Amino acid sequence: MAIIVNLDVMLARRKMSLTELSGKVGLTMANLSVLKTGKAKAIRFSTLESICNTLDCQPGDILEYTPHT
Amino acid sequence: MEKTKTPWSIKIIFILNEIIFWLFNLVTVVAIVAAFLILINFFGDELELQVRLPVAFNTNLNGVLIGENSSTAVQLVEAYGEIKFPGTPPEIARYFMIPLALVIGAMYFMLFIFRKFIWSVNRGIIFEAKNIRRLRVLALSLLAFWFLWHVYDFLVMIIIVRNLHFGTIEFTNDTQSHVVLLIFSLVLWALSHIFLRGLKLEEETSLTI
Repeated sequence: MAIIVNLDVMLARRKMSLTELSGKVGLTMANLSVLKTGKAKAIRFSTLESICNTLDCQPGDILEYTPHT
Repeated sequence: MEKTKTPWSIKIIFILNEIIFWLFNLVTVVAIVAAFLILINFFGDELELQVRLPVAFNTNLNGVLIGENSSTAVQLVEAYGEIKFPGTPPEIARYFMIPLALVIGAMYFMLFIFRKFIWSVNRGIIFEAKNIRRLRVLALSLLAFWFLWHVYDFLVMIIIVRNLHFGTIEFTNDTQSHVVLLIFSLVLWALSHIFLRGLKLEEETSLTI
């Protein structure tokens, strides 16, 4: 997919673990793992809002568009 | 995950299919034994083969429709029927064994596929790629069956019906279209496409975070 999820990068910048994010955002570890590994097909605005709120970042910091070569 | 209850309609189809499947197993065994006995000419001249005719025939039989207080004169003018070969020669019996074996084989295959499909549905596994493939195979098999049935009817028409001579009846060219089978196979085919779309939607929903 041309959309890359940089959740692991943001987590590293904020020095936060996936388990901690899971607790704060209210998502299961399994769902966050799907998102982190780029297997997700879509992301809800409400989920994005919670993640951005918790990590104090913009959607663009988490999602990145890379055209296919 | 919450376990969904199997609807009664599925349960009834499941039970009916089980009964039909095992009865058909019995029919298959009987057919194999009968075919073997025909091959070794066990029946001799006692076999009485009946063949369904694919066309209607015109006749002119007088009858009565009896009501509660009155009766009305009626005429039988068109009908479908079967012919019987009294003391069927073994060569003819062997010849008809070929389509019979093909029909039994095809029906067994379709019942087997449908049984697997309905087993999965009964356990709540509906939107699964393997199950949708089964539905598509079933639809295409029914379509092939419908086509081969027409080929068989055509062969019976040119080999038997055109050479049949009865004094009082006259054969028409009105062949049966077996349209119900055609519609059923097309509906199943369409359902397989709908199920495939459902599978994609289910995948998308489960991967939406």
